[in-house]
Amino acid sequence: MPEPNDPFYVGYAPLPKRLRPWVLRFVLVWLVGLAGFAVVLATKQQDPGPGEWDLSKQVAIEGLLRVDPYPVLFVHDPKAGDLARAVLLVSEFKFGAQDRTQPFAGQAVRLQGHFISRGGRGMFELSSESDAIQALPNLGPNPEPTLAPTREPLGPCTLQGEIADSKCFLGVMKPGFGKTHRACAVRCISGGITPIFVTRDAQRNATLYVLTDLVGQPVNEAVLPFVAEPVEVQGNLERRGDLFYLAIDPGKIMRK
Amino acid sequence: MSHGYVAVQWNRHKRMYDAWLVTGIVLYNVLFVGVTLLTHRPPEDVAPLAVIAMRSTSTCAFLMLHAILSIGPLARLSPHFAPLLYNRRHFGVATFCVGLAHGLLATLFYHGMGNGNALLGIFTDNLRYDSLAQFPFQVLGLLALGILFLMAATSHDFWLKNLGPGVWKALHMFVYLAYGLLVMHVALGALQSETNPAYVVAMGFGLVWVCGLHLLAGWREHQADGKPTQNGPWIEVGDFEQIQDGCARVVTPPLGERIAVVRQGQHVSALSNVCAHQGGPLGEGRVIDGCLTCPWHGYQYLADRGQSPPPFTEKVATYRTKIEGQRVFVDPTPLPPGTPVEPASVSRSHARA
Ligand code: HEM
Ligand code: FES
Repeated sequence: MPEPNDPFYVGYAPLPKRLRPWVLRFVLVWLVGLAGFAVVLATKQQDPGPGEWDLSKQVAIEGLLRVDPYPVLFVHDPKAGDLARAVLLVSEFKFGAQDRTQPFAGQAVRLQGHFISRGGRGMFELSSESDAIQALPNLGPNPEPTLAPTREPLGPCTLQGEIADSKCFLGVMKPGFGKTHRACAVRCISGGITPIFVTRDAQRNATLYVLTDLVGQPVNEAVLPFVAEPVEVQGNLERRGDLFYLAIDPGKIMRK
Repeated sequence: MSHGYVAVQWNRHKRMYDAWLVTGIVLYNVLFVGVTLLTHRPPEDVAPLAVIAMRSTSTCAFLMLHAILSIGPLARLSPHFAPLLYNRRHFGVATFCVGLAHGLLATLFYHGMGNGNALLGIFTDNLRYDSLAQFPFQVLGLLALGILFLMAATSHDFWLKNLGPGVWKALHMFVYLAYGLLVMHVALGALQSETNPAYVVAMGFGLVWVCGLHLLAGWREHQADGKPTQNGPWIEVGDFEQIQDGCARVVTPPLGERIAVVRQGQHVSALSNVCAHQGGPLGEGRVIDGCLTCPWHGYQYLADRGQSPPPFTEKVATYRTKIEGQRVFVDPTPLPPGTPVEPASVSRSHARA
């Protein structure tokens, strides 16, 4: 409690001499305290991971476009060995690229846009320009023999992990998964972006599976209530090129 | 103080206060973003940069809220903190602005830029209201932001006058609800994915700090209250000589508000301890230019009338006083605010001062 001989402060009168060192202290504590918290909280926050989204330059890629049911470009990549490398396709913001790619399904195309990648898995964001997709007639009407991905059934399996949106997970948002990112992932998947299932091994290395229903149709709407939660799914595994596909019954997704 | 309103009544102290306030906010955010860019992988584009800014502004606003909640009890514990209290409202408005920046970034980048209404999405993108771990924590942040907005919007004395101090004070008590909502916003949100214990430890420390300070200030006040001795309608305040000239002593009657008993020379007057402005403790004020001056924002009262000097119009309840020998007594029945009361006096022969 204040004592009678304590200094008395009124805002509109000059600061009492005895309060000056106190005011100096407040300013110091305020600035040093904030600086301290800024440095500690900034260094201790979650690492956003090595996702990449290079917007500095627009690039072009060529390959075989497939839309079954999600748009994927299969390209030759010596690093992928014999397998055709699968590049998932998206539009800008939180929208998928189905509608735009459908007319070119099955054709060799050249795409304009930007690369997105995380941990060796690549994605391509189509530019919004009208000529972002160009058919390549000069590769011949049927490029399947050279670029067509092998489809290799791997049988039924049960997996535990998290449903995420491929665009944010592969590098647009950091982090692109987990609780804080849930709403964003819901908007992305709802907007048509390919839903993926992410499992992690003991070292937290991720494996990705593109999710479809049992007859190979999109599951975007059906998985929305389960996005970004720990869940268990059962399904049939298949490999197309270097990409895993998991055909699931969305009615049987189980929360963990 | 209350005749006609201007946007803000500026003076040198408020300007200095605001200048340091803004300096701190800028320093924090520049350091947070800068250190993140240096210690984490640099972002290639605006989306990760927005997440960094989201975290920077959110933690900044949350820290500022802790500071605001600390100023009240600190000022009750020691008058040295009075300069912090004086312009606390600007602190509140600044906190709202920083919190708003965070809320806008989060709403735009996490709920927006897609196929739906971003604001609506705060409520509907995650429907796990039935789960604690998966709860849509953004809703709690939005509610807290709404409270901070109401408080910032009504912080001006115009609203204080028009809502009345009771409603205004009640409204501003919602800051504690906002704090609680934000603790949950962080606990059910960022702390569910943030793996480093520093975040949990920091928030736990903040919670203990805020609660501890309030308990300490309340306990000290309770200790200081004491039980006054009652003699018929009169309660005893103490020895006249123990009240320093130009100061007051606070008594707590068995019922009703605390009373400030003020000494001016050989006279004592009694008035409500509760300032008509924002309820500041008048009994901890001083007599300046013949008026008891509130320690919070300097509102002044003529002690024997319970009224601000003209042209001001604030009024507080007054009480009757008497002095027997050296003993000062007060009748704890409040008189209508602004009722003039003849001060009680000690005769010269009794006064040893
Ligand atoms: C519309 C209102 C709000 C929304 C939609 C919202 C949303 C969010 C989101 C999505 C996060 C997680 C960010 C991340 O780590 O990636 C977050 C974290 C946080 N929010 Fe809010 N928030 C809102 C209001 C507020 C307000 C008013 C405050 C404080 C004054 C606040 C304080 C915090 C804090 C301290 C964190 C944790 C720090 C961190 O990001 O790691 N939020 N909020
Ligand atoms: S409470 Fe503001 S001057 Fe008294």
